[in-house]
Amino acid sequence: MLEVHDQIREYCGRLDDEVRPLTAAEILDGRAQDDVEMRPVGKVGVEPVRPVVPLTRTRSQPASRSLRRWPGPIVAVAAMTLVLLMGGVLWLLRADPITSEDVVTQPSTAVVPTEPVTSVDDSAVTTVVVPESVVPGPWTTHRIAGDFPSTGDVAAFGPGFVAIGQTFTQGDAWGRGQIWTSVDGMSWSEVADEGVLFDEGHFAVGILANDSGGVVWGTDTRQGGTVILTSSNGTAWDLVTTRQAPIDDTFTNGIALASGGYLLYGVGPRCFTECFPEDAPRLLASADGVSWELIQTPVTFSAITQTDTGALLAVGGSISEPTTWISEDDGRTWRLHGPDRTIEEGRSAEVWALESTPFGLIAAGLDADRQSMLWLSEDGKTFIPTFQLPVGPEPTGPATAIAFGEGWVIAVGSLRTDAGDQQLMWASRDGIEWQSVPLEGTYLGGAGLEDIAYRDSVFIAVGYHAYSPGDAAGIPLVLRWEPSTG
Amino acid sequence: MSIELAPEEAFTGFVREVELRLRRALVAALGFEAGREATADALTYGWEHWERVSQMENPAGYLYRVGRSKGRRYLARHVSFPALTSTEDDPLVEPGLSKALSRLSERQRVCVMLVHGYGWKYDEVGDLLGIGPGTVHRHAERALTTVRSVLEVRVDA
Repeated sequence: MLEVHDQIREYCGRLDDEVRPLTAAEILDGRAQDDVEMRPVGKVGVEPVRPVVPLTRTRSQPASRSLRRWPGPIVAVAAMTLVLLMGGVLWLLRADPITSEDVVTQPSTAVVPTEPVTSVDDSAVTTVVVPESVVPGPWTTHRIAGDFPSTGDVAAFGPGFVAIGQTFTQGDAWGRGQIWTSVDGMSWSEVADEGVLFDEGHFAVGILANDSGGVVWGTDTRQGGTVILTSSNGTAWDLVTTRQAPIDDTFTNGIALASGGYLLYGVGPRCFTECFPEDAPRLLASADGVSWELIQTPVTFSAITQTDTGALLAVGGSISEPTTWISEDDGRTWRLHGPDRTIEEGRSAEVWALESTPFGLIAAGLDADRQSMLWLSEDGKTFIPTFQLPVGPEPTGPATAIAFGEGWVIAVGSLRTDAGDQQLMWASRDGIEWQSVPLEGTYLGGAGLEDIAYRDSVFIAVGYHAYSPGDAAGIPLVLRWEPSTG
Repeated sequence: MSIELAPEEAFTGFVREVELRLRRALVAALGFEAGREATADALTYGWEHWERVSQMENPAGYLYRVGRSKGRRYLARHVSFPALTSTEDDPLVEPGLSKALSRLSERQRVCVMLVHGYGWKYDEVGDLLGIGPGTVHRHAERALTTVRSVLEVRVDA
């Protein structure tokens, strides 16, 4: 029985055994490329965008499918052009001006100068409301100090916000976790460690907090297992020993808040020839983040969220059979929620984020075609695809986090391209119509967004940055938006 | 006193030094067959442009990008890896592992195979890919999570 990373090491060793090394003599003689005759099959292309299933809109008239897939700026330019043309026609006909009753407007925080468009001939074209004429912003960039820092998660906690990630001191090949705090999301301070909180190779991966306290979880990259830290105020943290069962051999997918504390979900050591219940899916419960007990779970969960009724809703199972589950006793027992196969109609899918919002449950992940997708579910049983994210040259990183505040639901993620990673953000006023949020000027290039949090009228998004030797200390990793001043 | 090597000699030493690492990285990125072919293409390109390549600070990183670019023409729709199935006497690698690796994004696969498969340090992989070590870690961990999910064995509790 080997854990996955041990299997990968074994497998890679076997791959090496399958290949005869190339020698310089073969290259010099021009023999290398004659050895294995392979027929080029053409450049790997970008898959066409798959149309998403249209939903019944609840806030305005239906928009065309094409509008759903068009980036916001293009829609804006098209709408502006149309407005000018229509304005000209109306002026020529001396028609009455468009009144506010004709359109649905949104409170403006706005940087995109679009106007709703009303057709003259209702029989030809129904009233079209450009999907949100405003976008959240502007977002400002803020720096986090450290040695090659990268941030992976953020939570509203303690003095304001707490972010976690990694730093890599020069010559420190493994790196170690780091926690930063901020009152306003603009200036950030490192939580003093002195080598107590994170050992070399111990990384911080996620943070979760509520009014009573917070938990940071991470991985022990060198020996395996989960690293747990707890805090009551966000600024002082305690390391929970990682060398105790059942934490020591659990590989964590995430931690969720439950009414009675925390739930940690993931997998135990992998089994191959023979499986025992303790070997695969893992669910651990804790009231304080310090003591954890193993409880029964039907499948491995990939995301858990608490609904407004206090019930826990989870997505899990294998990628080929994603299912949704519900628990009404803080995760002690679970039952299948809705049909047996609820995501992508039983086709394979990966759910990376699940968030309960006033619009319903919003899930983000990879759909059956391995493209990034946002789903909406009103009942937690059936998830309907609402928005397919931009397609890159390879399967894109999906949206990795979702936050709700000020009437906005905002998702963040990254687009992987040959030129490097690109940070991306999408916003919606209803969970159905999504628009891209322009972030030009907020990054130095080659960056990605990992998480987003909301507190007291401020959104904070955190991410990572491309390697840049000349800009190693204090690189921008935080985007901030305060709607009241936007 | 420094002795200047003939180009053929210098290139021979260079190939001896980088071939294995370059091949491993390109196989991770493009799959078994296309990765091997791309390695040959990249090294051939390196020899054809040896005067320039030999002066580079990170020639292996440059040739990785050359190989990755050239190797894409060998790719079918999906990256593929041989099963290398375990025998009953040697049950170390799950049969589904090769397929699980194929499902990862290229960046995730390169990170997880080089870090966990071949023991590269995070900064070494970062130098090759032009990304930070923290990003390498993130990709590798996400890849492990996905592989674990793909390989999941249902347990009857």
